Amino acid sequence: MPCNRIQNALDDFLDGICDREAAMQVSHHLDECADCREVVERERILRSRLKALPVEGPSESFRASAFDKARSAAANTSPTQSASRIWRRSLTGSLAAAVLVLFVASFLFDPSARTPSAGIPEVAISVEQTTPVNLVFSSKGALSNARVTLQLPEGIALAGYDGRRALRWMTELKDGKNVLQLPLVGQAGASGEIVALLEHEKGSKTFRLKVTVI
Amino acid sequence: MVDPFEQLLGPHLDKLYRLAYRLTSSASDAEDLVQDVLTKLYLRRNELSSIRDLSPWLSRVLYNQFIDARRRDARRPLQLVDNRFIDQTFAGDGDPVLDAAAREDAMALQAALAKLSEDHRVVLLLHDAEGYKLSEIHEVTGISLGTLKSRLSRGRARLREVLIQEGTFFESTACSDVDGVQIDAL
Repeated sequence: MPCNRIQNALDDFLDGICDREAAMQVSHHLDECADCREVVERERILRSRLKALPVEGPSESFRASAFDKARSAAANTSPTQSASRIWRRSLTGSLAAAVLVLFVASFLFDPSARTPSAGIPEVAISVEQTTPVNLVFSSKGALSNARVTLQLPEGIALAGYDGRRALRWMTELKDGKNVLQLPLVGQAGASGEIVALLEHEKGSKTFRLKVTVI
Repeated sequence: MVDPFEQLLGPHLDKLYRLAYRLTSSASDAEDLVQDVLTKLYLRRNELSSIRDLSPWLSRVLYNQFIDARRRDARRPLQLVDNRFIDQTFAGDGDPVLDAAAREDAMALQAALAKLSEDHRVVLLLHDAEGYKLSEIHEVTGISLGTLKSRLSRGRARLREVLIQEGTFFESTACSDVDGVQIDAL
């Protein structure tokens, strides 16, 4: 059997679903062809690596509380809020409970633009209650392969990311407004700055937001 | 006394979570997805005992919930990429060189998988990572076997392409066997 036919049959051979005759032909060919043996070996290693890809376990409280939450949510006959979904497609979504903060990421087409020298914006969030805060990145032009890093102060966290003080996103910004919704939760008395760093091969911008928990 | 709903679904929670994780690639999104499914099913808990084969049925409900959520949020302008979990998984007491190599391979694989289309990535992860048969994936997704086989084949080809372009995974394996190294002019 020629090499190109073997390579077409490899998936089925490695999956163990070849018919017997085809499997024998592949095996005989592999006995004699070092190139195809190498291909098979690489494929086997790749599959074993895929099989070994780790699954991050749920939070400690998930198992204990999942059924309680389902019962409570069902009793309230409202869908469970997915507080840890921290993205939103457009500003036309519900902003009734949200605080809107606008930043400008205009460096792509206006490299001389500077971060406004006006004071750092401030927001207040309620203690132990999730408050959505929308960061709006207004971009003059599309930006691909941009990275957003978020640093959070002590006592303030993103709902669903308890204990995480820094988070990172790879993103593509579209021309115009791009909304990042942060579901913030805070401990009583906490206060500090959230720092959002937007990085791109053409530069970077830092945005600061002062958050106070009341 | 344990709630009958929890008694019925409790044994399936881990499998549902794993499926949700493979679909979303995010622990928090996976929790949300499973939570949404549990809430939805709690409202229909009286129907559950009549379902003959609960496991694939639950998987299908979860997959449909995933698709519905995707359609509602058609574009994700910001996608979290988080390698912290891989760092923790491989921060062991073993050989630091091997640990570092394994960690890099896993990160390279995660990054490459993220470049696949969702159709390819989902079938590849369910089949090659989770060990689902194509017939089981068909039961979960409702996608025809022929389409699934094609997506699996193309997904694998695309993954190989990306890994070769990145020049990471395959080169490292070639280096592990000095006698077998062949140098070609490209």
